[in-house]
Amino acid sequence: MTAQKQKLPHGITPYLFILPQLVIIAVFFFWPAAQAVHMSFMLEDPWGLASQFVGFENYALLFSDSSYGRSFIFTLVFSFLVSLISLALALLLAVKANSVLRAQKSYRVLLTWVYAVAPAVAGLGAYFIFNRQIGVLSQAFNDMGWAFNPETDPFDASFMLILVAVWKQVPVNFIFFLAGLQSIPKSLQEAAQIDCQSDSKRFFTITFPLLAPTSFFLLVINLTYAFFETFGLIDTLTQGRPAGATTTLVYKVYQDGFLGADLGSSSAQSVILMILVLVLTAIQFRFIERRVHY
Amino acid sequence: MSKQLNISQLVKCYGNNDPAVQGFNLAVEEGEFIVLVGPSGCGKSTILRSIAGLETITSGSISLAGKDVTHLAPAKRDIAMVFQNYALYPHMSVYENLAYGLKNRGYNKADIEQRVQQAAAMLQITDYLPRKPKALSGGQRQRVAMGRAMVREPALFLFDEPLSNLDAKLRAHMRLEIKKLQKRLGVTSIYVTHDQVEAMTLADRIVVLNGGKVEQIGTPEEIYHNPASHFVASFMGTPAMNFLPVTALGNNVVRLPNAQELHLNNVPNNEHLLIGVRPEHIDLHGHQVKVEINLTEELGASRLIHCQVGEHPLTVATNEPITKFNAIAFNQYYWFDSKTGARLGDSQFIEEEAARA
Repeated sequence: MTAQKQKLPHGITPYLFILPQLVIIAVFFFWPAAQAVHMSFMLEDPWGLASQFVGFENYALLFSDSSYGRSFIFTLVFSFLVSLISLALALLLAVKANSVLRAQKSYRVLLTWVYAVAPAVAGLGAYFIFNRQIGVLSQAFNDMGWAFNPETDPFDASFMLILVAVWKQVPVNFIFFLAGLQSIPKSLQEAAQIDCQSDSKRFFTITFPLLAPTSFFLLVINLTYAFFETFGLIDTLTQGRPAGATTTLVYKVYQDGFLGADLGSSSAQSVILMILVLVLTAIQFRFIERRVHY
Repeated sequence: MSKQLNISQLVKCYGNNDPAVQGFNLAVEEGEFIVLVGPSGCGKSTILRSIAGLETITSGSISLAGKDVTHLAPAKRDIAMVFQNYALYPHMSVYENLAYGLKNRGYNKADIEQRVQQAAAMLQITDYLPRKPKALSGGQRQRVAMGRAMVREPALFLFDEPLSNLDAKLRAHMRLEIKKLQKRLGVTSIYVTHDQVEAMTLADRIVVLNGGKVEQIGTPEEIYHNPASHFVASFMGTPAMNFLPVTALGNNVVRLPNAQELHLNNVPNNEHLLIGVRPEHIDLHGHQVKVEINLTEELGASRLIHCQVGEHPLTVATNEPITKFNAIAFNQYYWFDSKTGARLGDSQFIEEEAARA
């Protein structure tokens, strides 16, 4: 049997239908991306009046800059921890909320509403909670004998950022995990109950593998979140302090480009970031996705 | 002889509603094949799930192989269950599906290998062992589900409508396979279905349930020839038994819905009298009851003739090549109380049948 491809006679109409979307992608993605690549090879004066082609000098400078290396490592560690902790916490909450029989809806609402809080607002809230003079949590840490000071201590500042970023990300993961759990047929869980006595073993051999596609999807989402969307939190909470210890790659692009007016270096960083995301996504879809689907 | 499974006074309530199961009792011999049958909502699945331990019961007790299992976890009960949608683990190969329960019970590798291979050979699924469930057809999945129950060699098999997801032809085939397999392995089995053909063909004993209560427990022959109630008589047997409301006039004479008066045997003295006649127990040459023919359904070997007695429908099953007649006779009939649904009179037909045999 030969598969005959259905061919419809068409003129310009289908292209007109997809044109709006293409225009949006072109204007808001391809054009800025091309602009960034172009600018990463230029050296511009701070007023934006003149620029000259410098080749790979911006990149060379970046790789010899120790603060960039530090930011790179901080971003990786930060993203890894935020993703891991928020995923683990959300999974635990979803499993527990799923097994609750009474007031299941209330639990769901309570565990999801944080999702609606804008990052900047969350940052502001956290700013007050962690404030050294009036912050409740700062006070609590101090009372416990931990001289908590995110202004000067890189560990404290990172700890604070991770805590807030995780708090902000748990609801999204929770919703997806709960949906994933509820899509596992009840009879499958029951068959497993007959086959396996231990709750925890059953979770790791049946439930968790069945959630693998969800987990993989969430991993991609969470890494992207930690990379890019924590900008608002960092800007309201630490602005990269102390001494650039909490500067993620994205925040550094902003700092160097918009505050430092070094558009060439900032563009070069954007390009590296772009490549990094491409590589990460390619790896994830090529190697991991193949294993998680059953 | 020791009872393999003993259920006494099982009650299950969901929330504050009426109990789904009201005081269910059953004693099962070792190796017996019991079928629980009834319409949806009759409590048959609840009973099965209670035996499995998937439902906590409100009161009563269950013991298996001489051990009280009422409060044990499902995995500790030495039972295996085959689910309606098979419930195979989609992320595991067929081999892993079969081995999972054994692995968790601490069997060693060689033992698992041997049991899985043996079960696979018996079910003819050896070729599919490395495959994932999604690469199997419905019938193959059904076999794997059976295999998963078999490898454990449990004291009790539980089947929850295992054939209802299959098409008609495959269903008839798998029904036979299940019966053969059960006889060969000799494992005590409880089978839940709403299909009375499955119940009749598979069971050593049938339990007919209605509204959370037992209507009758008996062998397929008993259920068919000697139904204990209107419900059992109407539920078991295809085509279903005919029922006509009649009025007793005394001296064993009744008035039929078409106003005809008829002399019958052992007419009970009852106000709300219902006569039950199976379609296959009607004599076309009887010239006793006037009928009007509405429609004939040709089935090949036999035919169903839908008639009317007054306003009431009456189905006749026959393998005679007759399509036209205007009066029939009842060869065998049963009496029921149309108000309570109770069977009236004695079981004379059973004795007659026995005498004839």
